[in-house]
Amino acid sequence: MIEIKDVVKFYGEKRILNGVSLFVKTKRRTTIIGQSGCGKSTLLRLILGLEDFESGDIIVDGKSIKTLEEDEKNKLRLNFGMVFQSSALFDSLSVGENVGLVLKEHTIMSDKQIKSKVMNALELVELTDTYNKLPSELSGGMKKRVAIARAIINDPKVILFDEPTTGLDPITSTRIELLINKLTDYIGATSIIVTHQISTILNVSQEIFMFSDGKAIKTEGADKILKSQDKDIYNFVNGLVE
Amino acid sequence: MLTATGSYLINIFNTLGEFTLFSVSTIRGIFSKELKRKRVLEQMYKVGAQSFIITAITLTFVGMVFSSQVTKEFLRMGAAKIIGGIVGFAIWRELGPLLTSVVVAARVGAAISTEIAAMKVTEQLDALRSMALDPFSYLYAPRVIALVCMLPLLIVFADFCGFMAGIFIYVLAYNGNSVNYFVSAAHMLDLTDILAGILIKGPIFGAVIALTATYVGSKTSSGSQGIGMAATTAVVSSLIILFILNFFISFLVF
Repeated sequence: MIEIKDVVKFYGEKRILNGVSLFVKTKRRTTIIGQSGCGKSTLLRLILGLEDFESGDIIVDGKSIKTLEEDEKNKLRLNFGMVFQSSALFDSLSVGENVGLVLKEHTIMSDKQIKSKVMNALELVELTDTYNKLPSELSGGMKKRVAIARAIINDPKVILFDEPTTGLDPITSTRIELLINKLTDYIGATSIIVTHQISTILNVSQEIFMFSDGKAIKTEGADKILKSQDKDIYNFVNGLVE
Repeated sequence: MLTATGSYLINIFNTLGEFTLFSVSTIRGIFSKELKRKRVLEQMYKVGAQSFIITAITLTFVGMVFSSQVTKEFLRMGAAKIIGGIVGFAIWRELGPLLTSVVVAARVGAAISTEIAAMKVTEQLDALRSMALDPFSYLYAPRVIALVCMLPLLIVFADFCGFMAGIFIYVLAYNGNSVNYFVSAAHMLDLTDILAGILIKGPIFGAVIALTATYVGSKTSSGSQGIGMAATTAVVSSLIILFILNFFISFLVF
């Protein structure tokens, strides 16, 4: 469903992605791991068409992102839900308005129908009592859960998670990881999770790719990754510095 | 030295090119189906409410000080009969439109650029795009429309405050005749003097402030320093453009 072919991306003079190729299987949770700054989050932005890339191709639903006009990209984006690293909730909107925004702007649903859907989504993330609150009144973990509710509100085919557990305490991290598993199974969505948290890798992953030197390396499953024979992977998961 | 100058010039032309493209996209956003009346009205309310009092205070005191200085000198020269006209010229043609725009650039322009910059830094702009919402029609166009519509209204109000503050000083501090003040203004000012500031300068200055603020905000670099820089850059750039444009408009119209 999502195929990344030999993608090269520069920021100024710096080559961030150096011919990344990977295939994301439908309805599986694919985790992308690697050190900070190795281009994991950039890849998510490229998949959504938020940034351009120098060469290679990204195929989503059989369509090349590179050749799409902005209007066509927008149509494609409605099949995606994205949970940003900083949660990216709109400060001026309440939790309910944040979660329901995409429905309000892109559907002809009534306010009542939207509210009911929003409440359902908030119930799934166990935050129904925050409907009228502003994002500034929420903790980091609660913001992440609201961002997840916002990402699933329109039943997307693909959910992208950018560092969903970074900066959270271990208990909240586990809660988010369980939520990711529960919701992606519940919706039946394909998900791509970018992370460098070992617990998230172990609890969430069904497929794992490691980014190293701007390329993606397919790794063994979560159960074997801690004892990987690959030096880069072994060093990464065990936090070893050469 | 030559390389540095060349690179500086290239940067300037790059920025100008980007700003032009940004402005075109924003104007396109104004005519987009995605533009919602509610968001425009919210912004109009914000612009008006944020600037109403500060504009009144600014122009009232500018009108008072200008009237005081003019009256003092003109009475000495025996030219009391034209004081109302001179104050009127200054307020309606130049001080009202320009100082109102300066106040709005400092108050509203800075707020807009800070808000957009914060949204950029916290990935809210990306979040909008990821939800297939265009920041140009969703965020920038309502702000441009609000400023284009509200600045002329603020200028009308500011002109009134400045002119009436002038007569207040003329009558109370210098025992002037209020009828003379009005008659002088009525004789010397024509409709162009009054309307050009409101209907030409107002919308143009409003568009300049809004486009500069949104552009600078959307191009900000990450971090709190970037947000602070965005506000400063937006205000300074707006003011420079306003002063230059004001000269050309005044030169051509009056």
